[in-house]
Amino acid sequence: MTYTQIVIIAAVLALLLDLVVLRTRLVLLRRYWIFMAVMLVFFFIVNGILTGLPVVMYSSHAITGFRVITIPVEDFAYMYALITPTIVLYEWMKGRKIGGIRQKAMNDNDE
Amino acid sequence: MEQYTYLLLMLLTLLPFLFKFRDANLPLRHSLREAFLATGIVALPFLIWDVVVTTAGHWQFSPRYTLGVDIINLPVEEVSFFIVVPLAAILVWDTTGYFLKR
Repeated sequence: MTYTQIVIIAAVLALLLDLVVLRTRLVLLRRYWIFMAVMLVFFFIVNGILTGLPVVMYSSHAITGFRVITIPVEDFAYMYALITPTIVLYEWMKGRKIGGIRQKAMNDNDE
Repeated sequence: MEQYTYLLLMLLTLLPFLFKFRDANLPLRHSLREAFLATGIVALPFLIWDVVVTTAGHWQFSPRYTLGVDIINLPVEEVSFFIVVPLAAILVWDTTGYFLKR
């Protein structure tokens, strides 16, 4: 399998974890997209350096070759697939501790 | 000095977390156990993925910008990435919660 194929599977699994498995449904919150927008800024800096110098070098056989500046498009899905389950698990475990999974994340929101 | 590049990048990424994880305004202060658990649970499959595809040649790491200390076949900086980045993300997540609640 290529990086492209694996990262698509990982991103789908991340979405399923949030919507179906743990039902945290964070992707439906406005807060989640504000969070992602902030993360995107840091992602451009850190991944820009990693792929720009480059610290990490990708095989042309593993990726599509589409890049945003120096960053392979696959890395955007990678960031999503890494960060989303982290936040989902973090909120889910906090919810189990306090009681009320989604409510806690909702209360942290502006509502 | 170039070989410290990746390490320095990870240290700078971790810095805000180190300064703010006990901040009185963030839920993180009472949820460090959850933060580290979530990080660890997600890091495991990503590290396995990384080890396998580094061997398969999907990507490789520059000897110029890394220390040359490997864990299995990953630079120690790359391993730290899966601890540092999720913790930094949790800090951003908590911080967005704080600003939206204000």
